[in-house]
Amino acid sequence: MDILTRALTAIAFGSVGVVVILGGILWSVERFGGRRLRRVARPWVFLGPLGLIIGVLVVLPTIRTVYLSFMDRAGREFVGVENLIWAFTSDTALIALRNNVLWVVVVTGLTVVIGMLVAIISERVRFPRLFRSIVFMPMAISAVGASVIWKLVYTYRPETSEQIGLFNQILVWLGSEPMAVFTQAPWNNFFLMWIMVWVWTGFPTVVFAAALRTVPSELVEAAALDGASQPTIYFSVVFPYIRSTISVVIIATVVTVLKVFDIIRVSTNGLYDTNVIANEMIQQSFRLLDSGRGSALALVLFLIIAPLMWLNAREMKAQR
Amino acid sequence: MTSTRTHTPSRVLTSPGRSPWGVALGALAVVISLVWVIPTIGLLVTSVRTKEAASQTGWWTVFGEFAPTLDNYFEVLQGSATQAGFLQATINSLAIAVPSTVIPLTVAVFAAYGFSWVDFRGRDTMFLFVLALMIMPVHMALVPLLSGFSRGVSVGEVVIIPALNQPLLAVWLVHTAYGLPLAVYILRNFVAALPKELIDAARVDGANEFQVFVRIVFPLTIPAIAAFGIFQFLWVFNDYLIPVIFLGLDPGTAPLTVRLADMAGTLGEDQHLLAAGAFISMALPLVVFFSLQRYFIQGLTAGAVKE
Repeated sequence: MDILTRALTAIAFGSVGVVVILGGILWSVERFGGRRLRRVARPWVFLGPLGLIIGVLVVLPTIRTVYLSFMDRAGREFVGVENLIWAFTSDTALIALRNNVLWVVVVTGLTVVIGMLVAIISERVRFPRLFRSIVFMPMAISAVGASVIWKLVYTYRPETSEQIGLFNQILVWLGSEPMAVFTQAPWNNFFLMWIMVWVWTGFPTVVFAAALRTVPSELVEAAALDGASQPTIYFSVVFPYIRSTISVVIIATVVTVLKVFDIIRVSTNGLYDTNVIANEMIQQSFRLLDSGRGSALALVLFLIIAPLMWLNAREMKAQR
Repeated sequence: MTSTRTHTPSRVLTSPGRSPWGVALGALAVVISLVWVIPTIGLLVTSVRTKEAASQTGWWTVFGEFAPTLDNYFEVLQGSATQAGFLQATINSLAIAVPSTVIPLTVAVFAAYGFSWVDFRGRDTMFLFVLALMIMPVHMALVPLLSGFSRGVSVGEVVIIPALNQPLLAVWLVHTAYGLPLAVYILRNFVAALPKELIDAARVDGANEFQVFVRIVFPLTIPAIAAFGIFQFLWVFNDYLIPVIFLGLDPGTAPLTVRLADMAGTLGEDQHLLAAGAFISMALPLVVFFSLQRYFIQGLTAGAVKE
């Protein structure tokens, strides 16, 4: 009970608190302020909280991380580009970089292609919503939960004993030897990527399904009258029409894949050559307490994502 | 978000084909569905098997003689002398997720109004900047944030921001900061689309901004609030990175994801308990998802589909 009371108090404090503070400021300014004050204060009242939170919790720490990436492990002595050199030359970091490239290519490719297939097929099957919900379900659960689900599927037992993981049982049924999925480099990487594909495919699916419905039927029918085959209609009419949706989905997927951390942490903890930048960044910063190297890795991640942030903001603004 | 313009999909592309093409696509749909569903079924079955059964045979062998047990769930919910229970972890998850949803929503409703109905210089630039932050990786700020919250921020000897030794509050604020850009985007699109006459009429009638905001804008914005709220709640409830960094394994605050990840590391062989724990951590998100799927998907797809 004690725990419950504490939790409820915290929830009430946090949730009611913010409403009271922001609402209170607005109410007092409008109630007591003169005409001039009200006009001058208005942008601050509505956008001040946003600016303050973004400034203090996003902008300042980001600048600080850039600074720390040029400092030693304790953040005291300036070491120049030493950490960045480490981030591009050490074996640990290079494996992580290699894996990130693989993850981006494989996971983005598979999720976008499977997602588009599911969206297209779901318009033709008897239970379109059910089909999409099945593929989408993993998006609702945590990556940690998804990793546990697949950990059970991938469980390995030596050949002599009975298999309790479905994947290895299928291998045995097919007449091959069971496989220690998580420890066999480099293939283990692909099995981890598959977890992400299973989780994420629902996103492209629902976005594409919504986008397909915006394609004017006149366009499609005109193409059909001209004698175009179905694949041709998709590639020359439908996909070009929803091009900007496809690019937003690709950007979102690439960024999500670059940030992947939970799946690795729960499955292999980056061992057996499965490390990725985000996981190594956490290891360096919070396990090995080397804020210089950790920050350098964060900076690498940021520099890869930065152009995408720009592209994404432009697409979003154009679409609103 | 306001009114998605949809067309009836053309018959050309939806006719359920009896052609080989149509049959092949149908078969593919069945295969994909099976691959997506079977792992979760395996988890469910494993979670109601005994320790002996789960460690000796595969879950697919149970059909025929099957005596499901809920003991694993009781054991996991309660915890043990050395391990925190999942019941407490569930409560901790809620204590993180509810404020981490309400705070950004409130701030974003204010900001959405500001971006739509208050004129000031630099408004568009600021909005574009916030949009760019939508995919900003939180990794870029973790080290300074953690030390900032626990030790404060000072330049030389001068303390600028005092230490804030409230890990729970820190988690709320970090989730708020990184959830805000999406919230602002969704809400701004919605608030900006409200009819200008409605707001002008209220102003002419002598309503001040507080009254316009509370009586007109807020009630009309509820659908967008629901869309972002459900999305953010599930996102925070399922997040692992931020709580594991800011709260760690402290049983008094660690949420389900942290607890489950710890269990997966230490109880690798106790699959019956691991499965029960995983299912407990999925239960609430699944209920929310299946009952409010429409809103969740709206929050998720906002901005990606041309309207």
